[in-house]
Amino acid sequence: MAKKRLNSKLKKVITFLFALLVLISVPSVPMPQVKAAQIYSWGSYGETVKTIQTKLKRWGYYSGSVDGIFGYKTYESVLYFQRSNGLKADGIVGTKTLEALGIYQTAVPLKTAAATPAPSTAAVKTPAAATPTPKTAEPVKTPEPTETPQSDGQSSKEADIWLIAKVINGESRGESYLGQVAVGAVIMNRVKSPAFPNTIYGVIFQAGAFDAIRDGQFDLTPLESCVNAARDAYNGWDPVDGAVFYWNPNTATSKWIQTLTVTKTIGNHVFAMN
Amino acid sequence: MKRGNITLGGIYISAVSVLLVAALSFGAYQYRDKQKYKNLLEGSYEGNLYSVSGYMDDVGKLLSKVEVAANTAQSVPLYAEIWKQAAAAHENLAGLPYSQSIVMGSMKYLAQLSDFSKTMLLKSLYDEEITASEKENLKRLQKYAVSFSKEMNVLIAQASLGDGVDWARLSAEEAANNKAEEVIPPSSLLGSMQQVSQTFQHYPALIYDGPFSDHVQKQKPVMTQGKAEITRQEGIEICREFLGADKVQSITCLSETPGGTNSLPVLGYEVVLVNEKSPNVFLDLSKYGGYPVWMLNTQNTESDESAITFEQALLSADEFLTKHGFNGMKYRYYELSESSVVFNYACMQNGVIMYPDLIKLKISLINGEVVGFDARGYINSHVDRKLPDTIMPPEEAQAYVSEAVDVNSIQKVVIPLSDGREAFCYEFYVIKDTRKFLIYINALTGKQENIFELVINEFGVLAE
Repeated sequence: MAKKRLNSKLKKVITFLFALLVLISVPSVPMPQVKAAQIYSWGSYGETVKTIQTKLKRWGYYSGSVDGIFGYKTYESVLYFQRSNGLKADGIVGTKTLEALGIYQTAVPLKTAAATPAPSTAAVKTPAAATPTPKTAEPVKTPEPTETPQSDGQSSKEADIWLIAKVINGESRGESYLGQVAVGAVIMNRVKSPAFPNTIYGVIFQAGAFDAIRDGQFDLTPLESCVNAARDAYNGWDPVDGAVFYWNPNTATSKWIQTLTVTKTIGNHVFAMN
Repeated sequence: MKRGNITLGGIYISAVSVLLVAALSFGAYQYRDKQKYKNLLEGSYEGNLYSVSGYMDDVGKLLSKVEVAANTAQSVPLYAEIWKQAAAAHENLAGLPYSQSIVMGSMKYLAQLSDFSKTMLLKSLYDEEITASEKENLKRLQKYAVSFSKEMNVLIAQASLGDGVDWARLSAEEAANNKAEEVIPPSSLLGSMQQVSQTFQHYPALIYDGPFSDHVQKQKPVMTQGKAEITRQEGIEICREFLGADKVQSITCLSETPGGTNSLPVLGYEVVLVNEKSPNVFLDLSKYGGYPVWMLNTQNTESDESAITFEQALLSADEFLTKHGFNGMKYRYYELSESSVVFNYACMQNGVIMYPDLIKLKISLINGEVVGFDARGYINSHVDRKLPDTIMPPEEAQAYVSEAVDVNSIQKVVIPLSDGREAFCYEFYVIKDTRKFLIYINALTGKQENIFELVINEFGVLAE
């Protein structure tokens, strides 16, 4: 019995020592030289996006501006390029699509990737390159174009806009443009209301909040108009005056709905707040 | 012949049995699969339920501990805990498949509780006195936490004992409820959550210095106060003048929104432009004063390439504001997309930027026209402000800015605070390594009221 206890104690000690050893040894494990796995997709911006746009344009896949913004037109032309070249058509420019485009990136260890300045190519005349000089932007001195960070990046705001666009597309792509902005505005109004989750993804994925999530229409690729409508709503346009609910009066008839204050009716949707 | 018959029958029978076995195993496989997903989903719902209950238990205890805290050092950690746990409960409650009508009250309570605790924490840090009404709020919030917690425990008992909860059924009931004219008698778990929502039926307005305080949600627009009501016909003339008489074919007043607790009463109009068949410009006018509140031109001007440069778009925006009598407006931020640019303009008064008086203009990069206008911020807050005469000099305010940054420029501004008030501040545009920040130091107290990172990239200039 005593031996057994000793045994278990010994076991514990050994386990502890082993755990300690593992803990100590962790920092000494050399950091793997990870390649900065870069992908360019919806919401990406920067020099590489410009290069992608230039190539796609030269080969006739893209007809928009070379502005360094991975927007809807770039997205569509990437899909077009991928389909035409036997690549997986997902609208994401990863290693394979980059190679197919003839864009080769030097592998850099993650650690230094952030500090390495992107190669500065000749400035393309676009609205972004024409960032206002301090003269027009006073008193906050907006830095001159040369000061603008030329590195690639990913806009988190664009990710939010895409999410809203998917809800609008699933819920009201058959409505007028105003009706689409209105659904986006309801999402934004909910974010600001204490009675709902206070993030965009929280509002969208609240259990049972949107039929489009339940019936799978949320997963469709949104139409361009839905993306534009999502952007207007995100930027604060609210055609429904603070509404946090909407329904189709032909299918929703619950008693509770009738207690709400209707703000507007747009197309097939009634908008309301509590 | 006979032999052939038997063979045929045999083939028939065996074919049918093979099909039957295949169908049965397919069905069994599907059932198992469905069961697996159902279990996964139910597990996640139950996780949420237990989390809400656990957090509420803790929150109730923490709130009573705050009441016996002797000083700031004792109360601050408690407020921090409540802030965190109430926010987590709020998030987890949103993950349960109850309809909005049932959870809204509880959601609001949790958001306010979390927000209130954060406000109290910050007040304590700044050695501001906790007022009698705030102490009263605290007591009230504690009482609600206790009854919330009790009801949650009933739910947990139902979920953990016996057969547990049929969440799929609950979910279906909720969906059916939305379509039903009469409320369907709910299953027990739904009933219990209704009990929770009953608790919050008479939950009184909570007033404190935070964004979710009930007074912030009910703020009255400044510009429309005491202004005359306009008729629908007068509104049509205002719309015509606003959009340019030469561009308009017809205008119809569509709606009249009374303006709930948190918005301003408006008249809604739709406009058919010349050479168009259907309405494509929409705008609202404030019912009192007839100010244009927002406008959107939804005309689809499809074009691949933007013909308008940034400078031309800016010029177009500036001209529009001057033409409509908004003088001394300065654009502070802008944001580009493929076919448009949105400018954020703020009002200037004696060299001081009034950030609350915000106007947004959306300019088409296809034709340079103003396709969007939003003056809600401006209408809600614009007034000739009486600014304090005695403020600390900028050098003194700079002492409150970190020494680790390089100060690039200083500007006097008025900023909106999250609790609905405004603050007269120095805006320090600073650089730390390659990152740029805007730091707001209250010009009267030296308190840092806000801090933004200035993000400059292909999408524009934004403060985040």
